[in-house]
Amino acid sequence: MQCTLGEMKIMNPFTPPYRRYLLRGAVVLLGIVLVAGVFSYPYIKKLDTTIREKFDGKRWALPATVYARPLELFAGLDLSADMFESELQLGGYRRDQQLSAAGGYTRQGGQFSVVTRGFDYPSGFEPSVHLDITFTTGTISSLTEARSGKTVSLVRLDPARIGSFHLKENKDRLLLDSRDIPALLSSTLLTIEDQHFYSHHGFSPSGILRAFIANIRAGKTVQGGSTLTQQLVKNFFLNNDRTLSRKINEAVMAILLELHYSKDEILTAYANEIFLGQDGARAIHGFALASEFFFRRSLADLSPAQIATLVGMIKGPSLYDPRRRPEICLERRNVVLNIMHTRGIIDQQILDEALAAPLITSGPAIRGFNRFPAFLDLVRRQLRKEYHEEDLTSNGLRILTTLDPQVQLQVERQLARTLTGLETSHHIENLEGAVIISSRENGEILAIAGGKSPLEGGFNRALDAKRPLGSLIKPAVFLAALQHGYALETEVADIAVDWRDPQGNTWRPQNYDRKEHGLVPFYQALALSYNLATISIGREVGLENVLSTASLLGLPGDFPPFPSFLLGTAEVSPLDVAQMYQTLASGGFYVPQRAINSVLSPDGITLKRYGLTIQQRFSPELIFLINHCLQRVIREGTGKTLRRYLPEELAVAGKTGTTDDLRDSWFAGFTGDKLGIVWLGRDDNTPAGVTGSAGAMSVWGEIFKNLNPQRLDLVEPVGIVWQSRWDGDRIPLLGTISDAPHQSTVPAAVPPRVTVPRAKPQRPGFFQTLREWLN
Amino acid sequence: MIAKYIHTTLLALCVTLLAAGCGRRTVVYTPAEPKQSPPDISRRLPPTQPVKPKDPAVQHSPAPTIRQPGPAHALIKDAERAMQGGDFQRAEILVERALRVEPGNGWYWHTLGKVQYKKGATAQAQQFFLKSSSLAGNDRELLQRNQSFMQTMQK
Repeated sequence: MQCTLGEMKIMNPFTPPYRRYLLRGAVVLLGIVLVAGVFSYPYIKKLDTTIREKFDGKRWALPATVYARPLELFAGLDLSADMFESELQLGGYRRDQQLSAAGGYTRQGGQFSVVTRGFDYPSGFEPSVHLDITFTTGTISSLTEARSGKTVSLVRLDPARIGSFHLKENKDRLLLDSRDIPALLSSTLLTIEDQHFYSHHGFSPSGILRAFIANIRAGKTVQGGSTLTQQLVKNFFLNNDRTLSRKINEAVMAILLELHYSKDEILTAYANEIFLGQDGARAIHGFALASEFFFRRSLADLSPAQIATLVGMIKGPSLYDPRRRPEICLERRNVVLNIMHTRGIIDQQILDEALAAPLITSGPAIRGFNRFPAFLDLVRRQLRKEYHEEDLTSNGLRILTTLDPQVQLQVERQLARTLTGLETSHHIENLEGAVIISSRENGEILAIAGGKSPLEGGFNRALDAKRPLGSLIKPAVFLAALQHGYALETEVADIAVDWRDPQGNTWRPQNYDRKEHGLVPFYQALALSYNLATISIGREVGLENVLSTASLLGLPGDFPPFPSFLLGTAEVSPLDVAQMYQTLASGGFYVPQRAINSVLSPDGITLKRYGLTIQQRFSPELIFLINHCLQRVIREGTGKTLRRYLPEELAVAGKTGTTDDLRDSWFAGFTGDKLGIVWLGRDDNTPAGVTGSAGAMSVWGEIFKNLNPQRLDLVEPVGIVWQSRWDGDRIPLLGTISDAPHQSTVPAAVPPRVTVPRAKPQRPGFFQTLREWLN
Repeated sequence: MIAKYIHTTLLALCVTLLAAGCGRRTVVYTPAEPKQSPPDISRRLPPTQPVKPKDPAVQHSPAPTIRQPGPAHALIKDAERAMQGGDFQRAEILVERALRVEPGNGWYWHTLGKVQYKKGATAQAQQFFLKSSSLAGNDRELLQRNQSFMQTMQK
């Protein structure tokens, strides 16, 4: 059809001949697209599946975070200023003169000002509080609320994070919810990396074009054309190859990601996944972890300058590493800050302050997250009884434990030092050790050392090394005797006997000094750890009764009734021994040892609580008697040399243990507040060459010397009387029960005591007589 | 001659001594040596003075449980309130925290016993009352309160 506009003839493109060509062109194009679509469908589908699996899997892979016990503060607490500062630093607190945010502190000598961080406890959320604390000669002398000046009777620091259980990849995450991302961080991120994030669909051709033009103008690469979504894909799946096929894959996957997930989810995933640095073999992914790692603060506490630093590092974490290339990093930070100001995200004042701020204000970064592998090992084992591995590594559980970092650090330090010293002084090689420290009354495990190199992990001797406990069994034998009528003053025969078992084998044990001591008082036989006297007692009382007492004390295991059990041939771990001595330390109450306090959901809801349970297994009177004997071990027996480390006034109760050929060196001891078990030996079971007192006890002494130990005041039950001996010594005995209420479900052993046949008085032999004549 | 006499005498002496020493299994019993004993304080100090023995293993009278409010006192009050409101889990948590700060305080163990009792966990309540009594020393009031709860539970 022709139309006329004046005299001109205008050709209408939609006239039939043109229409036919156009139509043909459109059909051909459609055909090409359809064919391309059909062929590429499987490929796209594959990418889609990959995206969904990876993204969904990652999104929910929140590791469990493990916390130490919170430090309780009150006036009168025995704690030095230095120990307090080390506690703060372990908890990621940083020195901050302005105290601008939670997690900061100032120190002037013994004077601290601290702003604690809020924390979700099982008993409820405890908000941040600003405290003034004064330390005087190793004690807190004053504790007040900083603003009001009011005295605070009891307050706790939020617990330090000590590790996490995460998937076996060599990465670490502190994962965030979208609510956890500070507004300033998201706006800065979008401004610098992807301004049109909310309007594109994963892939932005206009963004690429803009970048292209900007780069041409500048003569070098100044702008990336990748969207945040593309960067996320790159971080998640692909390596750094910049081939065309990679770029196409990236673009397609970005689009697919946007199809399945919301902008919010993508932004959160980005904030969690973005690679921001390397710490040895460990990759630092995500802003939350980077903020802890570089600035020792949580994300919520970052300053504008610090946010700018982290966002600036995205372009090149190695290039802009603030520790290794501080000048370049600082320059980049300031560029970002200026852009933030230009785009109106921060005002002039903030810009000026931020530009003037130093790059990093705190000390060296926290190295490594799982700082206490031996303790974490126990936590994991206890949790595995109730949780599957996937629950532990992907549901973001928060685990509050009983670890006391101060005690743990002392244990590690003293064990390593003392072992090295012993190896040198005794010319031994490959000496190893294990230590367990727990609270005396409630059985909470405060520290575990699985070996001399705590950071290595590996074989956890505290939990898994089964070794004969030697003389550490003796309190069980003597306690069984007390249950069967023995008294502390009962004379027992420390003389050699042949013990023939039903198979006809003869066992002829000896004392450590190869001597026989004749009739000795019961308490002395334990204090001096006489083997022969122990065996006399064991025979008299009966092996089955001794085994039953050991089991009642909490020594786990089914031991066959061999006479050698009396001298400690039973093989047990240090943890087993700790459980046994826990019953003695707690006054006869079986208290299951615990490493976990509670398990919370990521939102702070208590999922499980490991509460305190106890069970009285021995009468207070008998336990008082046996513990008195254990104090004598230290006062006058095989543990006498402990006074080199701790004053006698502490009245420590303990037991040394040495096995055949000095293969194992043991010590178990408790003060007013703590119980400690130490084992030394060699992994190949060859003789270690140190006795219980020279080896394990010296480690114990060195550890406890640094723990402000409390004096052991055994509360004397009503049914005890004291008897003076001929030498002025006084020993406790079961007395008549007074009219005061006698509280016990377990009957105390009742005198009369069993009569031990006196050995016939022997005339001194020839050499003794000669010696006496010649003297 | 004298030399011969001395020689013979010595020989006879040796033979005699040898004969006396033979054929007997010797077990030498040496009496325990006098130990460095702690002083008997109860006779030295006048009874009105508080007995603070140098060697606590020889204390004559049991130490009383602390009654004065300690640092964890506020927690116990909170726990009592929680107990009255029926929130036993919270009460337990608070008392356990108080016990971490003052583990030897018999009154705190007593409170834990009360929580268990109110919760209906009488077996565990009894154990906490027993524990409280084991730390009570000569605090008769505490002993009586524990006794009274235990008697009630037995009925």
